[in-house]
Amino acid sequence: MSWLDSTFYILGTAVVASPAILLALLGLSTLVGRPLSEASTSRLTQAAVLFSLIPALGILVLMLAFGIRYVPVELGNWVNIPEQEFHFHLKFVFDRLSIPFLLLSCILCGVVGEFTRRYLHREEGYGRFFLFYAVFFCGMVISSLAGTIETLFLGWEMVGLSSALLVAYFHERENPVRNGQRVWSIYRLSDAAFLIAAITMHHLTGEGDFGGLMSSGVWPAGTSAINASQALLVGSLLLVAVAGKSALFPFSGWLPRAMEGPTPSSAIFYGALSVHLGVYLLLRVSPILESSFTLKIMVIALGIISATCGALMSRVQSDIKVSLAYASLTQVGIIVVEIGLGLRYLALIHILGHASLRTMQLLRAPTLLRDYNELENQMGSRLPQRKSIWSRMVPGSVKKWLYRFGFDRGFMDVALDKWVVQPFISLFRWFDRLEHRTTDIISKESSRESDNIDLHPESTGRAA
Amino acid sequence: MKGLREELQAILTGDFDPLTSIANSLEMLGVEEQDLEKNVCSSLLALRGWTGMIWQMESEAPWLPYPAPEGTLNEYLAIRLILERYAISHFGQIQFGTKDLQEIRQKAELLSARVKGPTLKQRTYTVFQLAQVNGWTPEQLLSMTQPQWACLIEELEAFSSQERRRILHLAYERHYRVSTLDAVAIHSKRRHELPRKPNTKPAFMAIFCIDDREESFRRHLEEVDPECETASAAGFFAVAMYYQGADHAHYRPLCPNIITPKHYVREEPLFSAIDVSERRAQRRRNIGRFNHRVHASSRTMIGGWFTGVFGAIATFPMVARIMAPRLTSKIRQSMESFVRPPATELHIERSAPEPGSDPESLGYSLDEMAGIVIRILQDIGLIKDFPPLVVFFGHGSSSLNNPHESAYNCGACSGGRGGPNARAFATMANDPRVRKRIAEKGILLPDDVRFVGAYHNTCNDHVEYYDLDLLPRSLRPLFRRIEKSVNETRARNAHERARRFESAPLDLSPAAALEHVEQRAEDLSQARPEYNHATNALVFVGRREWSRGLFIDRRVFLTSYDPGIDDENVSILTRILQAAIPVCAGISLEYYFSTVDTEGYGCGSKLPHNVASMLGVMTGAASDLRPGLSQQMVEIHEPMRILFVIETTPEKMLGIIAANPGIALLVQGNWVQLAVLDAETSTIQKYVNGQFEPYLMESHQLPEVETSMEWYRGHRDHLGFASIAEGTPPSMTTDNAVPHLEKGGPS
Repeated sequence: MSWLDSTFYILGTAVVASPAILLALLGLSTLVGRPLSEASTSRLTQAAVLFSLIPALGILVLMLAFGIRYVPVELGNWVNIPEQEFHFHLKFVFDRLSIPFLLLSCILCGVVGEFTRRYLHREEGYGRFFLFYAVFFCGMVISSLAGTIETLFLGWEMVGLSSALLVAYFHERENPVRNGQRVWSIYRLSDAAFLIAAITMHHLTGEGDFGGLMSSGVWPAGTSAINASQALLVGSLLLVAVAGKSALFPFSGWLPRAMEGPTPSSAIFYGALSVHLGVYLLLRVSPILESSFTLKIMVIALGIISATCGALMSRVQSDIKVSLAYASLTQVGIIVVEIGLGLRYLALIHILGHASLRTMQLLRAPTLLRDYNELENQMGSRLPQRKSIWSRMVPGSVKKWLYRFGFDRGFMDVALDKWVVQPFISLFRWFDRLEHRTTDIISKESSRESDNIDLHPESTGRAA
Repeated sequence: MKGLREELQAILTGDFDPLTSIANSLEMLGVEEQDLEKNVCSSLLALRGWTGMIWQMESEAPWLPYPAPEGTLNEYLAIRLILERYAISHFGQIQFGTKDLQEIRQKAELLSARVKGPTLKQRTYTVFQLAQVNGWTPEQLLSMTQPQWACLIEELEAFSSQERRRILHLAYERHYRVSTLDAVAIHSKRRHELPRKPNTKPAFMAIFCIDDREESFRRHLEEVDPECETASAAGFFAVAMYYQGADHAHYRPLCPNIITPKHYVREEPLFSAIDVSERRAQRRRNIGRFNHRVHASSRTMIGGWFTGVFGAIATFPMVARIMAPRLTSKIRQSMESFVRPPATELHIERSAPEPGSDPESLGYSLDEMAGIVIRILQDIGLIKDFPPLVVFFGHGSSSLNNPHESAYNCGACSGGRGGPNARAFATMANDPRVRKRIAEKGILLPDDVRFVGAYHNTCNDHVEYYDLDLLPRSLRPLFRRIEKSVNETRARNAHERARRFESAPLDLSPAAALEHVEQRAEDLSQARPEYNHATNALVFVGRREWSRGLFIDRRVFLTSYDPGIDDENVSILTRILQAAIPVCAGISLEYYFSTVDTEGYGCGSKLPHNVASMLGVMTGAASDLRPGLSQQMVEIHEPMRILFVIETTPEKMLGIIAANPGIALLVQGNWVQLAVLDAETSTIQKYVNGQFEPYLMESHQLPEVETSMEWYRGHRDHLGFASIAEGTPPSMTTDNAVPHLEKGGPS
């Protein structure tokens, strides 16, 4: 092993280890009942972000200096079951896709961490926030660097879990918890799709290494090692995963609900990083898009539909955070289209720029009243109401309908509830009744005491 | 929901009369005459926050860009009732299997009738608590007889939870009231016994708003420069106006919101600077257009693509602002000098006979100005022995990421910044023609007396002065002295404020504390830029003489009033109280209710707030409109009814209460507490049930300290009263550390 290789190995391990250590420290201190003080929590967090960021920059410099474009860091097989041909292989890859995304994650997490340090001052859940933050940060680093699909899944799960918990950060109120649960269930759906895709890939190529999936070359030059129909199968599953994670059509309903958390968590998780994680996955596996034309069309269509819905919905929202959330969706949709068209570098630049911009906008969302006042003062008049070209072209009745479409958030949640959730619930209620009756018959009496208990007076029996 | 579409169609075609619709709906719902008010109220209040906001938009805010047209509230109620009807019948269908509203009502009433005393568990729990407190053993409880139990339960239920809390609350209020009245009695006596100073003319005077946040500023200024005197009047200084700054787009009212101003005042560039001003205004417009374009298009599809692709540039200012807020703001400010309006003046003198917003009818006539100046001079008791310089300090506050920003501004300026009022007042009082008119009324303002307007930012403790170029050269040394004292005061005031901020170490030096508060004002992530009126508990109305040097921990609204110059009908006190009692009681009750029920009357935690409809905030992604104060604003507040200590006689006070229904409502309704002070004898009488009773002191101790800092240093919590010794000017230790300010430029 040359000195260069060992340097890469040490630096690469540091990048991943630093957030993991942060998570361990914050988690364990709470677990043993000695929570850290505000000051030490935030100092640890700052240190962890720095110790992730600086080695990453070091690797970038070395790679540029030596003209290396692909640096794998292997941490070995953590689980290996030869009989089942299963291994859990931890491998991290530094290449032209992962390094920019990693740097973005570190910088945005660092900034938001610094912001939160003062924003949540004196807050009861200060430690809890930073614990979730550590889970999130760790997940982001792992998933941006993931070299195998199982590693990516690990990071992906951590991001999903922490996002849902942060939506439900104000757990003493009802709405955040409900909305957190909603986010979580959609994430589970996309996780399931992801997991099936991962297993399928293992079956097809014998391993989960992205390198194996793309038989030759490093990102973005790789070509797919699987044929068109296999690519379509894996690709469609991944597309469901992407749509869930990035709130694309028809899962966009969770995006506004995620605005329940404190402002900085909305900013980083939904404006910036979390919502881009899905498209990052798509970008990572983009070579397989080349092998199936149908898949490509699906990707582009999904992007266009999501972007259009996002633009319509963003226009008519009356509150700033949800409006910004849907505006994010519009751009994520466009990024998906760019990926579908094979414009991978453009998509990457778009992700970086858009994430930074949205974080900034969301962080200063509460200052909107003052900003508008300042804008008016600068311009010396009321803000101009620009009519877009569309408003002249579209007839009145369509306009009204579009308004309603946007205002009711594309009816997506309603449709999901009615066509997916309700049948699901009815089916399982039917099973429940069946079981109830059977047990009643067997025990020859009413077998369920819980039936006799009054509902909580505030319980409406329905989720919002 | 069938039929709703047809019913609402009437609104589209235009033959919709809200009042008829309301009457119809109420009839269909079967609301009886006597339940009418209750039902309408509950319908209106079902969506918290909106009804009040609609009503305010409809009736009180004609200057809004989109004011609600007359009748909006009626329309709102009409629509709500229609929807309510359909919702009830839908619910009835599910619950009772009928759609008939009357039938649903009967069945629902039947259901709700079968409630309810406390449940068994609740009763048990109360007994359990009582047993714990009294140390009852299980054996004792077991051996109790049936009648004993019945007696116990009866007693417990007769003393309801609300009654218990009421008594606790009265005790809570009493504790602070007693310590206040004792402190006032002792301190005023001490002040009275001080040897009279031979020279009654102070070196200069500083006039502030009655705001509780200025209490510490005044106290420190008096400590820094014992030869000065301070006084106070409601912060609009009787200049009720619509005001437009040189870089403002619109007029906004700067006066208490119970007054509708008739006068318009505009800040305009000096005649010689009109060209420069126009160039800078053009630059501002260009920047504004660009910013607006970026802001608006970042949310559209195509524009969003451009801003998204180039969005990485936004990272740099963002990182800078969050990592080093104060430095970034300094850089921004120095760059803004290219666009800031140049030297300006107020367009305050009117040529047309009637006031209005046309260019020639802006401002006040000389007679009106004279009226304003006389009124304020009488209010603050300054009608002779004028010092050479009188500085009027308006106040306001600036903070970032704070939808409640205007709640931190001057309450007497309807949540505006009071600097222009101070500037306008000084301009009026300096005008020789106005002085001539004042002299006719018997107040002689010598030519060598000058007034200066200033603006105090209560968040970063910045002070700026207006129109200093107009100050005669002979007064410059005195002004430099004032400026030096004020700079030292700013640091000390920041220091005293910083003791309440947990993120500021207790061992900060005053200069470091000033930097700390400056940082807070510029920090995007700061949820508590300042504590605003939190902890307010008292109002003193009277001469500064008896309260000067009393440490009141920023908890008192100080209102100047000199009974010596008032007439027999106490007309000066009446007009002071007509403003002071409703305004201070309003602030106190706003804090009271937001504290006792932060989720209901307040607006909960600030952290998940989301600006909705450009009107207010809601929590998270969907909630009611939340118009109250946030948990972060009231977290250190002690909910008590505000206590007025007024320097007058019981007879006069009763006369004022009888003659002013607005005051009577608050005082007789016990929304405020009231006491009167005789400063000569230091005796106090307390208002109880419509009359005054002598107050008997409970303690004769009041700590004496050398300086305020000695008393508060090292403490975070609420502090009690203390007398601060009247001293010689201490050396100004932190002088070098306090940066000097640029002067003169308007904000």
